[in-house]
Amino acid sequence: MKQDNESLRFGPQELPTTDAARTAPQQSPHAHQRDPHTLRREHLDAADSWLREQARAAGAPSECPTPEELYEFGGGPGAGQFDPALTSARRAEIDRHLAACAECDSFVDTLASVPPSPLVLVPAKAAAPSRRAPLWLLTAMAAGLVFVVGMVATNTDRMASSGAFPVVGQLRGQASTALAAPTTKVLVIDAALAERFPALAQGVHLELRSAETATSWRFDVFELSAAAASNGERPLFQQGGAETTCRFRLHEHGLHAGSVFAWEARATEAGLTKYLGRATVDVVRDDALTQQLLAASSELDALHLLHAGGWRMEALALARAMPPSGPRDRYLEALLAR
Amino acid sequence: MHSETGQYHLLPFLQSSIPRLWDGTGEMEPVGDIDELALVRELRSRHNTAVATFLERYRPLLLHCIGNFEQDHSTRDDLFQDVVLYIFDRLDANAYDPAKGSLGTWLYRVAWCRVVDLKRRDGGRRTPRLTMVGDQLPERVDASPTPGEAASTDEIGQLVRRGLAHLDGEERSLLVLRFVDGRTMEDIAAALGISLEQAKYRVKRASAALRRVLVHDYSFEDAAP
Repeated sequence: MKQDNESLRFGPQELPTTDAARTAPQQSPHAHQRDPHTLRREHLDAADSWLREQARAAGAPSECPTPEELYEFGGGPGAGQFDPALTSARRAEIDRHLAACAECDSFVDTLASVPPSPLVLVPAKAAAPSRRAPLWLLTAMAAGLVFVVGMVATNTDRMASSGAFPVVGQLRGQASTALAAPTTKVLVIDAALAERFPALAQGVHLELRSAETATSWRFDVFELSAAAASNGERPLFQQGGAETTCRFRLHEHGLHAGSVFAWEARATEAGLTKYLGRATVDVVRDDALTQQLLAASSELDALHLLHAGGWRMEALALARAMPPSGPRDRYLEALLAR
Repeated sequence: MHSETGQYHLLPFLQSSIPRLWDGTGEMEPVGDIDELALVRELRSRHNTAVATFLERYRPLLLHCIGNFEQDHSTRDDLFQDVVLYIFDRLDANAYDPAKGSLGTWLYRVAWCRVVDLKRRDGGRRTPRLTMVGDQLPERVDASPTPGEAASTDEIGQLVRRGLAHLDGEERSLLVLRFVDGRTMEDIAAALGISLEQAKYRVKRASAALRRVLVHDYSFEDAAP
């Protein structure tokens, strides 16, 4: 099967969609020769229709929901603000309808695309005219810059070679999101670890990267559970304000090792509530790591362990608790910049 | 596409008074830092500055929404005009409640719903229902497929079943659960013990895999003597 897929001429993104097939120009009735792409589109369209027909036969409602209901269902920006939330029964009806209706399904898909922000409120001002510096001054400045860069590079190499703080690698091609930490997992901290490293015992610290133009932020936290009543999610709490961070304790919301929670963040920027993203986080008890942390000879060793294991929130907390220094600040900056 | 708001006279007014903002070309004129409530108030009076501010501030947002539905440039412009006029209509009707959310959020929601409405109407126009005119007009159109349609459906069904058989176990199960059993995404997520987002993603991936198989099969059929 894999070999078959690899030998295909069309990648998945290049495949014609059923929507494209629907809107494709009609062939002239006199055109006897139809191009292969049109035929392929029709072929896929027919297959898709057949599948959707099966869903209808299985009891999927055929009546299309209103656009407002679809918007609520798809979780568009501001969903739940301007219309009452959908009941779980209605959500299930719409969900089944989407299996039977390609058009509604494609409409909901458009909501996955996050609107642009920031919106331009004030046009950029024209650059102020500047006096041209003489050539000798530019040359002197360039020489000075080379010297300064050289000194910084030398010191940086020295710091890196001593292995003082973990090195934050550059990941090319990885899109940076507004959600800084935690993004994948949080560590359950037991009493011994909390006593050794009090900075790790401050609870979950949801943190966003800085966004200077936004004026307020909102955090929504859910527990993800197959047994949850609605949508597989149980809303835990919502917090909003002028802070880009939000703290909570796992046990206060019934979360424990093995739980999974999700957090979403929104920013109000230029009058628009912008969805910043969502992270799904596992609550993990790692006895081996806990033992290693307890055995660490210093906070810096512990930081290296956390950093290497991808415990981003914990690494940030521990680094912040360490005495301020240039290397520490650069590490924090690099971690939050990614 | 035609506006159905009945306010065609607004278009020439808008386009002539603020042409560069309307079509998004050229330098934008500086506009005041007007707050949302004042902007809404002024928009109801169709003040030039307010309309210019509105278009400058929210044009990218509305175009983003429209761009998700329509790739064709001229159709996008038509939709943009219709959506703007519809928004003015809704503002005139006091449909925006600032207590519920920001203007930008409300605009996106209104624009999205409007475009969906227009797309549905457009789709309806492309596939008109034809009825016979005559004395013996049947009370209800016979919806059952013709023998030709039934044979074609059977053939497609066989192709899809064959395509499903080529998928790996999980992909096949997902498509069967979703389309043949008519299960909701929530049910599927619960059955597999995964999050709802994961379930949606995997069903989409399985659909793409099926399409690859079908295109592959079709290419072979096409090449067969």
